[in-house]
Amino acid sequence: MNSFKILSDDEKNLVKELINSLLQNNEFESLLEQFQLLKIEHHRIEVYLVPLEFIPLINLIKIHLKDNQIIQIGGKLGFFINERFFIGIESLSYLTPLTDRKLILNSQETTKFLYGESFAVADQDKSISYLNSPIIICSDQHIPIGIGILKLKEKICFLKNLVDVGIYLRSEKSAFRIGK
Amino acid sequence: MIYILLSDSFLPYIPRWREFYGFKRTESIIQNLKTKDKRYITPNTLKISSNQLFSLIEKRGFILQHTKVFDAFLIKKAPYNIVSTPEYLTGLFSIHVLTSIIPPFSLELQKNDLVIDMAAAPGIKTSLLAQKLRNRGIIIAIEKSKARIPALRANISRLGVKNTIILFLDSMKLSFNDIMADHILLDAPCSGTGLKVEKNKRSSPRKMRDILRNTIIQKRLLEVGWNHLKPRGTLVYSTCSLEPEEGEIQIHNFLNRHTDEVEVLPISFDIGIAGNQTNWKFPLNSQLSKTKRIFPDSGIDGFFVALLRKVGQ
Repeated sequence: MNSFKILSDDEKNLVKELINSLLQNNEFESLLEQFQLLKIEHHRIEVYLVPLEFIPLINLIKIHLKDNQIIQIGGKLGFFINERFFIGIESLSYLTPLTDRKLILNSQETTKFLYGESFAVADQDKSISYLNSPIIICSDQHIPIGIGILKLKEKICFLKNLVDVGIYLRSEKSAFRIGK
Repeated sequence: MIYILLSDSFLPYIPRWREFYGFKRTESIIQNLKTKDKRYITPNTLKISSNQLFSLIEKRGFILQHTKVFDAFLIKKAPYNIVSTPEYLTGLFSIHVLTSIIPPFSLELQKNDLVIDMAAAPGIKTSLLAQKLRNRGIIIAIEKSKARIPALRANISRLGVKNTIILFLDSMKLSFNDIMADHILLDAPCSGTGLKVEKNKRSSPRKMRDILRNTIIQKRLLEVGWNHLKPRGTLVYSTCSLEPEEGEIQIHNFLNRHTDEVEVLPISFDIGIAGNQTNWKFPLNSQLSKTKRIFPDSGIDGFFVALLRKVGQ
């Protein structure tokens, strides 16, 4: 059964907590004025940001279809595994404009990040203030490309890749499969 | 002599193509079906302009050439696989045959329109619809193959499409009597005889009876789509087949079944010939002159496309 459902209060709190800690602000609340959070169960419970104008239509669609036929609605925000919420890579296009706390890489660094390498970042001054908690990483074109974490090693800031847009190629069949 | 270079599955079709399109055109079809397909990229205008994309990709050592008819680039020289570039991973462009652009870009979309894509995987045409809608409105993307849904989901995610509802459903069984779309995109399943030989991945050769089976499915899909279309709405129908039964004749029969309900609209792309120029056993409906029959060429598969507007009640 993977019919879409509204998130419980506890689930909503878990989502907000993690996103607020990534953004280091409460701006996510403003996004929720335009979207509803819905979940759909596939091999994991996926959480979607659904534009409010979609709601009457999907309620009509729901009447006509079986529970397992609605696969995806709007943009994916993330997913739950064992009651723990993980931010999905697709959500970064929604979240990045809500925060100044992001690291913009140069062209060479963008390539290294997308190859999953850890490396010493060029902008050491800015990076030092973002240490030890996940941060949105943007390409030289200012397009969000993943989430990383900055660690200090012998007084130099290193960026470690946590997740990146390469998932669209590497994990197409696993991350985007449907059913259990 | 030239025929032995083609897959055996094409041989039964050659006399037919001569009959429909003439000897000279058939020779050209055969030549082009066996050529290696070139790769083209199109900018994802949700994220980048054509000029910006050109500049970024050329900086990486690729040589691109802008095409005449479409906002797309031919990859003339590639130092490595373009799929490995950050620009691909960040969804700044997609790779596809040029004919994919025609159906979604033939529709005149308004920002709050509801569009149904009746056979959506792998999502390239869906993403082009989203680009035309600027990620507004709603696209209902329907796919009946469970195996093809991951590619659909991955592509629309990578390309930043946010206005889509994906349904796992056979469009032939679609019966939303209370949901009517402004536009329908039906890139129908077909025999694929217009595809280049190198893309012919079928495990068994095409048989003549496939055409008959496909025409039944296409007819059903056309009727279901038409039933879900608002008055004044438009339906774009396309196949990558060279068989008139799956193109010109399918639409000719549809027009006969829906007399006074359909206006065939012109396809704006300057490519191919008018559908009514195909030779058939009887004269084709004059409205077929606004459809397009496209023959295989560089980056182009054999294709048929018709744009239908619902008129009357």
